[in-house]
Amino acid sequence: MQTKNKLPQPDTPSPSGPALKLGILTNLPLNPEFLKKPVPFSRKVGIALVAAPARNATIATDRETKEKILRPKANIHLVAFGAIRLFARPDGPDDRMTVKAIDVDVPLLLYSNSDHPLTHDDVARALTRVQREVAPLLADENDARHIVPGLAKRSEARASWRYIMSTVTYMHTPLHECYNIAHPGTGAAEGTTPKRTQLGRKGDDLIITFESPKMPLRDQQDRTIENIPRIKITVSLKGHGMVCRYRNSGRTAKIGKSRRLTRFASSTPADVHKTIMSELEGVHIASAARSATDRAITPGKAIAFLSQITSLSVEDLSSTYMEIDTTKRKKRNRVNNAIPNELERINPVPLAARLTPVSQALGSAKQPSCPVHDADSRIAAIYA
Amino acid sequence: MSPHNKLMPVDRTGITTTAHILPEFLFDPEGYAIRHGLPLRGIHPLKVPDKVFGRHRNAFRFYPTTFRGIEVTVIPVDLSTGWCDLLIKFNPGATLYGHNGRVPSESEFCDALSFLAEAMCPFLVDPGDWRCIVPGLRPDSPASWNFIEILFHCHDRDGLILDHFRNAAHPSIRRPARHWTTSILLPGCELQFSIYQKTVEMAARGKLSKDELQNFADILRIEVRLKGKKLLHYLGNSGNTSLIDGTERVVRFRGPDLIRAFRDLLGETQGVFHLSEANMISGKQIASLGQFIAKVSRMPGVRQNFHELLDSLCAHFRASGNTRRRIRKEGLAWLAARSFLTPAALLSDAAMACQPLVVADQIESLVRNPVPGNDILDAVRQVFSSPQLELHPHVQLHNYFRYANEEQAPAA
Repeated sequence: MQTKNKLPQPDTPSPSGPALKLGILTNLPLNPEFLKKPVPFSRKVGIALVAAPARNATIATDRETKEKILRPKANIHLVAFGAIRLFARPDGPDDRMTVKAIDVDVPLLLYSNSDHPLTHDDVARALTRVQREVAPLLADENDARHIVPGLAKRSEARASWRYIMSTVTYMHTPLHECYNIAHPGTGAAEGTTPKRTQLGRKGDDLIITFESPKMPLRDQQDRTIENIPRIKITVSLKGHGMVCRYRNSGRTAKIGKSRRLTRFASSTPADVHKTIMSELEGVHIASAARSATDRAITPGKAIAFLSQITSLSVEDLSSTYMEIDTTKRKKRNRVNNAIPNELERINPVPLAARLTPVSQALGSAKQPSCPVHDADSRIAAIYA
Repeated sequence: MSPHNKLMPVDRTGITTTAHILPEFLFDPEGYAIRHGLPLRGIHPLKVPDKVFGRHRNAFRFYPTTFRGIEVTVIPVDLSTGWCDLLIKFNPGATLYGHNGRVPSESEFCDALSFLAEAMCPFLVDPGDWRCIVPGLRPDSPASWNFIEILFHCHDRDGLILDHFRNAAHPSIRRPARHWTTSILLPGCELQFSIYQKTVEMAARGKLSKDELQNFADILRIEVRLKGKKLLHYLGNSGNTSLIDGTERVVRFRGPDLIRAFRDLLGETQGVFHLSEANMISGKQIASLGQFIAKVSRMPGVRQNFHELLDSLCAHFRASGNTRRRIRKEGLAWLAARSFLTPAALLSDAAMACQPLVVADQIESLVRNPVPGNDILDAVRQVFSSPQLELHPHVQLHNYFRYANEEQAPAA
């Protein structure tokens, strides 16, 4: 069902923060009872296991004994598929199944929607839920302080942040109107498609993804709102790049051989996202509505437009065109006269200026879908 | 006969078939592999969509060899009898050498296929059913080729050949090309072109060290992936196809078939190879626009290729599809008129026969495959090897009599 209601255009910055996906690195041996019978064990301790973990295995040959060794690994999903994911594999001298990484999709966990914007205390509430769901699965209850980074003492820290992904949807800025997108930290885009552009490659510390969202916007009654062009931008930070960006408002600790991020303020992802947007290169040129005759691509219009999206000047482009179309002087003058009019109409806006908090989508302000827990006081002290 | 007959320039392939898999293995793949000391590398459960019933079926994927090159997806149909659908991804180069930087010869391809059949025997209810694994070995076999990637290597020292492919288009591919610094992809469902610097790709995947990278730095790879109707169109003929489940499918091919198909496909590309200017029209504004955009795309400092500039212009001014097509046609004709590449030069017999190879000694020295049985090898060679060269008496009889008198076999 479609309505003609339009989303309000706020004059002041929206209070909503970006949707967040968080990755935790840790080292938590699992309870063997859970591994033997995951579903009954989960029911007994009251955790929301989505399904019994699929048996995934690599078979290798032991170099000394030359015997075949089974190396199982498991992805354990809690609450909902993708909401909390634990990756476990054998580790340690006795090859116990150990949780090595935890991925949390915060809006999916709280609102059943990966793109839902967050409030300032949603991170703390989500981490509290992670703590409560994962703790009963551990072999040693004292390891619970190593689930959420920052809870343990700095000298004993085992958990740290592996990656932080923040996603914001910007209104009235479709992807096909953005040109020459680049960032000093990543270089120009590669491998673009009409619906997706990525800056940075797999494995880089900073990756920025621009996508045209597939699903239309919905209002509070879950009805489709008229299709407003928008762009979804995800900033993914990990490793040293993440530590540098978050260091000032967070805390780091030396775990193993590297310095890792162990705490951050809940407002920092939004600030970092905003800073990275302000560093973007490229322009936005709106394809304004024109009449049927006005839509014809004339040489003057083409020269004006290409001068804005390439590194070539109007003069270079004009002389290039005249080499091809060696027509009469009257036509040349017509071409040259059309260029300034078109340049005025085009009005390119730097992308960094276009992608501001004002232009963010509000989204539908839904109530959390999971039972609302107050954030744990220790977690709230760190992340709220 | 041309020397390139002996090449089988194939990269990744896919085989679909059905077979009886041991129920013991289906119920406990890891336990079975360890009990029997099988060289499995991994077992991963997954779900595959069921197009008939609209839901997902339980399946699992396993790698039956210690080294890469063979991946088998098993979709059980009847667990009690072990009747399963199999999707096999087979890379002959990776099977033999641990990497796909070489261009396999016919005999190497036959060895790799025989090895695939041999590797599957321990999982079959009847080990003699290996003829159901490799397509084309039996008239009533359920096996067929699902997709085939044909490859071609050439030297591209200055990057000019890769640069020429930046404006490539093919009539059967509607999606826009994707560009990276060292690679181009023309993505399609049943037809897909990949052009990339092979050594850069192998180094990124850890198959080549930095020292080895410099030895083969200028090798450009052009790959064409054929699937479905396109596979049938370019490789199917009365000798290569069989009717399986009511559908015509490709079950066998030889080196010359692949080379002919590759030349046909490359010859159909637009904006790459030289064409005379006779196809270009002059005097019309739209023609001038097409030529202008093409010329701008070739100017130094312009990052966008011709198609990207055209798409941006047409999207901004909301031009009609007809206008876009006319401008595109003129632009591609202008680019073709100024190309130095010709199919005859790039894809000559000599170029096909003498394709440069990437050799990765470190990996190749680790790969150890057991020798397949003679019966498997003979059956595979009978189908996939080119026939022996014909005897030409006026040049060869003299040698024949000479060697016959000395009790030695004559050279073909």
